[in-house]
Amino acid sequence: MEEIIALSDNTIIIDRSEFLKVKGSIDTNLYYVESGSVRIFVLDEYQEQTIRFGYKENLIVSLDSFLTGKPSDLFIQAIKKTVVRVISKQQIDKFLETESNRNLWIKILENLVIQQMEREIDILTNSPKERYERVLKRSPQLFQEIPNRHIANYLRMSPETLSRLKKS
Amino acid sequence: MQSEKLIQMLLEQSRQIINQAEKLQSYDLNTLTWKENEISWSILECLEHLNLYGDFYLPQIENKIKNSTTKTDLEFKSGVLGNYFAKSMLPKEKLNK
Repeated sequence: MEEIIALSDNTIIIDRSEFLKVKGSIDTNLYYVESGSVRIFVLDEYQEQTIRFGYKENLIVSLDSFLTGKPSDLFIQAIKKTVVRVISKQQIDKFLETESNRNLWIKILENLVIQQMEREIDILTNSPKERYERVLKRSPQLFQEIPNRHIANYLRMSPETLSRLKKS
Repeated sequence: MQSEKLIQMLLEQSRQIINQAEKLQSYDLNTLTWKENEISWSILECLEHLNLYGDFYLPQIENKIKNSTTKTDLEFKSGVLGNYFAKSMLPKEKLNK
């Protein structure tokens, strides 16, 4: 993945609450989080629903827009002051001209697909306790990096329920 | 200009403006409520004004678009009246005092 990060010639700093991306915009950038944390969310009838987090050493991207070049409904917002390296689609396309690079890219995408499948099961899991335990097991780091209220939203439960589950 | 391009440009402007507004959240209440004189507006009053207008106009605009029977134009052409109203809302060199 270092090879991809190295492609970046643009680093940006976003303050907490600032938006990297808003709903409706086309964003074909790949972002590597050097420090800080962000969340990716959608608006569901004026309610925010977080679908993914990014913290240090994560790659974040609005993959729908990246792959299609079309507008995406995703918001990307900094949870705290965040430093990101920006890699453009053009840089990735050039990168993918080599076969070994294409293989690396395929591995990254395969990984993402597996993560999406896990997430799909999360969402379809009825028991809040089980949803919490699934995420705790696969991303314990999340609970160090992200404030509870955002994790609760991601897990589709109230912050109070999450507190209770963490204590038991 | 192409409609799609205009929309993207406006979205980017909106993103930057929202980010500026987010910064204001960290200001203390004294700064946010400061007024130059009795009839001038504080930062909070300006924001409230914008929010009130947004709360009214945005659903109206959304509704009109949703119920429109006309087709979207690929190329955006502004009209005299639309242009006039849009421009009249831009910040001016000399602020209204």
